Amino acid sequence: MIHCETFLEQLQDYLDEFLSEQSRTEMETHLGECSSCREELTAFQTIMRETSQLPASIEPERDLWDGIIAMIESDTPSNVVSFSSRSRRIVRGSFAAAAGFVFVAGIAFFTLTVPYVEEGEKPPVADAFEEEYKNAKAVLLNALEERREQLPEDILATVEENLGIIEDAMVDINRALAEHPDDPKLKQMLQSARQTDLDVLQTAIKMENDS
Amino acid sequence: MVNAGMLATTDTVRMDPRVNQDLEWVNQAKAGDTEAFEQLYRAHSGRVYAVCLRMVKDKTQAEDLVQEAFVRAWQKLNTFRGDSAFTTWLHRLSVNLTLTHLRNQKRRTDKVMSTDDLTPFEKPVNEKKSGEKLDLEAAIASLPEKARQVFVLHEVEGYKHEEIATMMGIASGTTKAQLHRARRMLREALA
Repeated sequence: MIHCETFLEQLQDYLDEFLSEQSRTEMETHLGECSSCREELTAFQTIMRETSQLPASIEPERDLWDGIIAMIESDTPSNVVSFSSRSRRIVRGSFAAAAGFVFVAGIAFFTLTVPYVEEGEKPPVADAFEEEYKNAKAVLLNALEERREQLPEDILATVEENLGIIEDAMVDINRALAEHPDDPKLKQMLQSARQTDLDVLQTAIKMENDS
Repeated sequence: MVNAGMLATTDTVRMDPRVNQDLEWVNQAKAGDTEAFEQLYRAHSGRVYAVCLRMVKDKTQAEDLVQEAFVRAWQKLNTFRGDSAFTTWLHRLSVNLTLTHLRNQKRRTDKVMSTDDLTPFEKPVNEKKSGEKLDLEAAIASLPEKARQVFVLHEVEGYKHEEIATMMGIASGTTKAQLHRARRMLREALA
């Protein structure tokens, strides 16, 4: 004979059918006598049933095939490129725009326009500066990619980590912007994050050039 | 429940016409046919997106992971022998990719946070307003990270504890504990 405390301790194993025959029988005997534990069991069974009925498939809001085929056709071996997939897609998507820039010994520094919003002024459109950022990043990533073999592993790892941190920050900021699309401070934060992103790349390329 | 972990032995999958169609597309794709591979994408992107989205909780990251998963699948297609259904193989590849992404993300986050003075940033699951009932998807999304990952893989995707433990690099006892924790938190959130 078991009491409620033991029943609740063993309830998850009961749900997963991990209990021995004897323990299972004891649990079921208790269920016959205790409405509170029956209610508890039913609540968990309901959650499990509803979970099993969640849609197995959710269609993405946009067609992702164009990005996939672009990456496949560029035939970039996945074990060579260590920069994040988002960064790589920016490189490919903006390659034509980037082709006009040539990096030799000198470094062209990119400074993005940071939106400054006066009190009461209507803030600029969220992605008004996105193209500028993407093009600049494409140029810098290509420059860095060309020099990958010459850079020490620890520098590459540090660059990748920093880019990842900034990307995560931008995801958070964009998420906040989705909820507050007109918030000028969020727009400024996004632009600052983009500038920091470019600064990391520019610093890495400069280190290589200085060495 | 339709789930990846429970899919399907060689004999049973062969009888499913969708599986046979997948195999035909796989063989064409192995020969370099990107149109056949696009058919595989059309047939399976929803399931891959669903698991990615539930694991990472972010649409943009989930979309990135879907693209990455299909590019990886294309590159590794020659290693698919057809012992299991293509969807099982693709699903496992996608889950592993997502778990790696989450591990890397956590490593980066840990690096920029001082670890001695911050408790884990786990939002309580029952962040509902008074009188508001969370729906199940929202409640799952608000679970702590590890509990959510284990819950999604076990309860939604149908993987076994041993499989989850291997994929996540933790003990199966830990996956059980996380699953039970997740269920209890959902029970509280949905009460």
